[in-house]
Amino acid sequence: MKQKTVARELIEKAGVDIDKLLDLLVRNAAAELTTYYYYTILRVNLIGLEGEGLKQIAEDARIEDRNHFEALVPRIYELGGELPKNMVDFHNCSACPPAFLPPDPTDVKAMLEVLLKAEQCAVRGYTQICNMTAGKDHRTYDLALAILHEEIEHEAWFAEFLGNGPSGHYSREGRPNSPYVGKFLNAGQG
Amino acid sequence: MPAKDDTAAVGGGQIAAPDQGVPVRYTRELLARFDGTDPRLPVLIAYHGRVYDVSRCFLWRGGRHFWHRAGRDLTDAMAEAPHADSILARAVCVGIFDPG
Ligand code: HEM
Ligand code: HEM
Repeated sequence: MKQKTVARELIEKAGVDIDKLLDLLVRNAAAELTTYYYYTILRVNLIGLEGEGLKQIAEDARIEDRNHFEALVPRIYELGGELPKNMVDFHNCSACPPAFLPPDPTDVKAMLEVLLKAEQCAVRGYTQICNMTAGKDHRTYDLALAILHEEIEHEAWFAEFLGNGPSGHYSREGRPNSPYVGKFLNAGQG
Repeated sequence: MPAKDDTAAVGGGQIAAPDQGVPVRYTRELLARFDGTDPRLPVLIAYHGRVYDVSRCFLWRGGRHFWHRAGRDLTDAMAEAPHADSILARAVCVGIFDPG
């Protein structure tokens, strides 16, 4: 049996159900990595006059979602959790439905809806992790909040394209990715 | 029809085709058979007196939704969910729940 860290002991003492928290962290990590994969296919298909205009924000969201995966994994292990051995299991435990390419890939609106739904699902996931950890597990909270900031911006980018009015957010437009999560990406990739 | 209270509109969920015979009444025992363990049966959940079919939801595969199990009344579980009950619009209302 691995020795409990003081951090884990104190989080439990503060009343966080660590098994539930780990379940959510793993499922949301799965959502990020699978989204990275599915967005790769979406990006490839974002072509033509309309599609090309979307390509860069889809790409920024894709890279940042992968960063979220990278940032979540150390915390999962720190808390005593682990990723499933089999990647099929990992895919299937995702906290969000797969962001499949729409049946008609030239339908840019359908494409946007897939992207928007995926981001909205992610916003739910991190809001819940923040709610569970606020004032109790400061490190997970800080991480989940950083990711939440980025997911909310992604949602805003896609919603704006769908004609839901101005969001007040600017896309990265060449600025570095992951302005919030960057500080957690310390393994030589930040 | 929707029924005697005002929860009929919960989630604005789709409603099963009328010619499939409406409504179907589920007791707690009957509902429990639709918990996703039998792959031949649809996956059902109860919420505020209604029974919803979530068989086509990715996030309910195998009758599991995070730490929740299908085949049960999940009315009280909604409070801690990161969504409103309007999410049930993605499921299909197939009957009424009558725990007896
Ligand atoms: C703590 C408990 C729960 C968590 C963490 C949770 C989480 C989620 C998440 C993240 C989604 C995806 C939302 C999206 O795509 O934007 C979802 C979908 C859904 N949830 Fe929950 N939920 C919980 C409880 C419940 C309960 C109690 C019910 C029903 C009474 C329910 C019914 C649904 C349904 C029908 C969907 C749509 C499924 C789909 O599109 O595949 N959830 N839930
Ligand atoms: C969300 C799905 C539905 C639920 C949960 C539901 C529930 C109910 C309930 C609880 C009753 C009272 C039954 C009783 O007292 O024995 C009822 C009656 C009835 N429902 Fe539904 N229902 C649904 C959908 C529908 C649909 C789609 C139709 C037709 C298009 C329909 C038509 C009727 C009719 C005709 C009655 C009898 C009304 C009466 O005699 O007062 N229902 N339903």
